[in-house]
Amino acid sequence: MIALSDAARRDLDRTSQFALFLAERASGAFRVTTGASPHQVLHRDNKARLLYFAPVEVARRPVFVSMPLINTWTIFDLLPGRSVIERLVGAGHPVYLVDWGRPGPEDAETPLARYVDTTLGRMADRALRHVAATTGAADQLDAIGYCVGGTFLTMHVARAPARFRRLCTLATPIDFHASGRLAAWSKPEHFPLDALVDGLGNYPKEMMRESFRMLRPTGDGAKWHGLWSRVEDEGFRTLWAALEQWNGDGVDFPGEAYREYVRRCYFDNALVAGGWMLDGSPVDLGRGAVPVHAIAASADHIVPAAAAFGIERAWGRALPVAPRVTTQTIRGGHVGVCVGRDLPEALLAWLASE
Amino acid sequence: MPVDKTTEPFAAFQGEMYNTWEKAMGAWWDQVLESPAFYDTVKSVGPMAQARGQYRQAMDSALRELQLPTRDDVVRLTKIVTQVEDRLLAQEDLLLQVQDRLIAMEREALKARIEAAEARIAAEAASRAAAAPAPAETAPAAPAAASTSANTGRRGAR
Repeated sequence: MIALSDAARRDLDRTSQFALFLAERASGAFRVTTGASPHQVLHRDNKARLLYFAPVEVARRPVFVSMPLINTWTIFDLLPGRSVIERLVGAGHPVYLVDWGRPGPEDAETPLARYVDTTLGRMADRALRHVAATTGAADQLDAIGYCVGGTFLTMHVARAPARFRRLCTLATPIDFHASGRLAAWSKPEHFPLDALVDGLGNYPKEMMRESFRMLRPTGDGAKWHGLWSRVEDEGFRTLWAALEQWNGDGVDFPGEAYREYVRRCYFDNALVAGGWMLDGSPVDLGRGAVPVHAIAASADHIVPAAAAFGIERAWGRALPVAPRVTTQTIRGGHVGVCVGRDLPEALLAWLASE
Repeated sequence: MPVDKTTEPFAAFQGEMYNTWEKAMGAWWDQVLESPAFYDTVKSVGPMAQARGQYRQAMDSALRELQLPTRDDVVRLTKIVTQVEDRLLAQEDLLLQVQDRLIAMEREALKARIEAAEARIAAEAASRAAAAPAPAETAPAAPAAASTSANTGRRGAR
């Protein structure tokens, strides 16, 4: 009886702390700074920027990172101690990161090839020039792509491999028909793609967020319950608030690029099935020539492991000797994996391997 | 934080309640999200988006009638700026390529000059070696004889 009363009192305290924290957040007093690792902008291409994170001493090879177009890059540098960038830079890797920026209505007609070929090519070029001018340590990049940024990067590396030594895809959809519920919703008979792009221009971030939320409708309950049960922990509160802030800060998907992306990837599953001509040349992962390491998150409801590991079946299959493709599953969800402890270690191990 | 179920029955009960709720809600949502009604709702987003597009066009026409700048005008202006930027970036790409080529040419020219210089040095060395006297064939027996022998050798070379 005493135990029950203690527990009830503790829960009451917790509930009042929970309410206070929510009030503090709502008033704007609890604001978290994300993306705080020091960096400089090396290059701008329309809204996209190439960010350079310099290590104190360059001890390892340069890393090129392509972030998703539909979110801000700060998920890779959320908080001190919860930052992939911080760990890579701390280990001596110079990091070059593509931040796609926030497309506006003027970008609605920008074709997908502009992002996949021109922007990524230019960013990798400028990164390599910077490497040559500063350390001259490498003439090729080790590339990491996350989510849609990984899909774009995979397509780019398959089409223009010269600048890249190898590729790591993180929670990157390749076999789109293995994306579970998202694949079912995105069938041409259900999803009014043309009407949406024609009517709205860019595909709005709010719609994207809602569709991801509906993939796991009880996720919201788990989120609030998680906060309530650990609200006394200041570190957890800060992490929770930072994730919420990041999650609410989405980016619209440029309309025409979205049309091509959904049609070819979700409708046709063309990265695996083939037959995709982008800007007059084929998108053929079968010609992918560099070694690939694919990482999936164990509880990813947006890009399940089957969708991420689709690259195993597609990559380099048209070559006489296919390059090595390795896979790894890390504990976490689609977003949570970026702020967990396992991802930086997995990336550093991959970067250290030959 | 792990909950000790033996000492905290309230917390254990709470956890059990939450898990039951999550499971039940998940099952219910699964049914909803895979029902034909849900797919119909997804499809209905299309006409809504089209209606929004038409509304925007109507707003633009109204503003145009009032001689006011429309959203499309602003977008058009921004597109022009973006196109100019694109062209500048394309020029930058070309300049960098030209720079690369010049550096490569300079390197090749330098290499060619070094090779030519080395070849000239080698030819000069060869001609000097050819011009140099042949080494003495007989070993000197005594210092006095050695001098004579060396002189003879030099003369022989001439």
